[in-house]
Amino acid sequence: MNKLVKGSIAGAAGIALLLGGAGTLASWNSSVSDAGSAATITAGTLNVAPSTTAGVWSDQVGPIADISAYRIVPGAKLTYTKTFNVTATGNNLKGTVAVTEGSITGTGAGATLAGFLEQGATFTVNGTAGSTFVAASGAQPVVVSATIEFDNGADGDENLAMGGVVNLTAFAVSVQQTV
Amino acid sequence: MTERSEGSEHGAANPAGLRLVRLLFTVFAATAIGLLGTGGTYAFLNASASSGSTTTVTAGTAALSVVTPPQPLTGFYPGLTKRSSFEVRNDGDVQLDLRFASIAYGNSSAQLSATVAPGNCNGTPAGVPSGPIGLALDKGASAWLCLVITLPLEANNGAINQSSTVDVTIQGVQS
Repeated sequence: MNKLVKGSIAGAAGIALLLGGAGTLASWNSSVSDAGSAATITAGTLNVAPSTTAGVWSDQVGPIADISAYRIVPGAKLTYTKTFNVTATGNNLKGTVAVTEGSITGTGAGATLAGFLEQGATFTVNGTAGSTFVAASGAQPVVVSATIEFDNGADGDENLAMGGVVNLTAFAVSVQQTV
Repeated sequence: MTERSEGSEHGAANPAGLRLVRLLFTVFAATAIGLLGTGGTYAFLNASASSGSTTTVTAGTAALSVVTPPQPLTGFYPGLTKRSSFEVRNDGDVQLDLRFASIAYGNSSAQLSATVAPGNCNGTPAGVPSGPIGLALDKGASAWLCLVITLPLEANNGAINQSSTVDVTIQGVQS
């Protein structure tokens, strides 16, 4: 009896296996390549580079001919204006431009002076004030106005900074794609 | 014995399954963390460029000096006022508003009183006892001021034959 049952089970299992395999082998199948859909996809680009035109220094009064001969005093606001070219290609590409501030260092009175100086920046992209851009053919001029301001406090507050010398390292302009 | 043995084998299968699940979960978690950690970095294009300008900026100074001191004044008596002009120059880098900051008398027994007025003492300027003189001095420029010394009418005999230095401090405050 047991042998009969076992034999039946084994037989049923064999048939089931054959049925399972038969489904796969019996079906027709086919494939075709859509030659028309073959395409090349090219990534966009995003670059920024300084223009060959030298930057210009100015203060709240007007242009500064020689920054090395300039003497900054409380209340002064220096502006360094430099044009950068942004190359942005890509569908729906847009982004923003920003400045990574340079360092201001000095020793003695220069260190005191450095403590009073505040940095900032404004941008003009394609002639319009703002920091955003969209993809376009060719280079887009971005005018960066980096500012250094010597705040004027109470009378005599900044006296220890008199004659101080600070070194301004280069700042960096960065462009970043945005959503 | 047989049931215990089967039970033992059944019990050993579950830890193996758990280990597999744990392994798969660990791999999945590690992969997910790795993808999340790097996804933000590579999701957008970016670029940067240096301004290429390194420079030096120097602070200016505020400096005031006396280029022509006042002349000595003598022969005072109660009620008499005498004047002597002196010239100051702005040697700094900013325009300065001039102030009569302080005065110190070398001998208080002389009982003198001083004020400072703008100008070179033409006429009879009264001067100010302290505070703003009312004169702004451009950088590099010089100006005349008038030291006005008075022996007050109420001065007592203690002032007779006394002399005193008068140390006037003029302060220049950035305009």
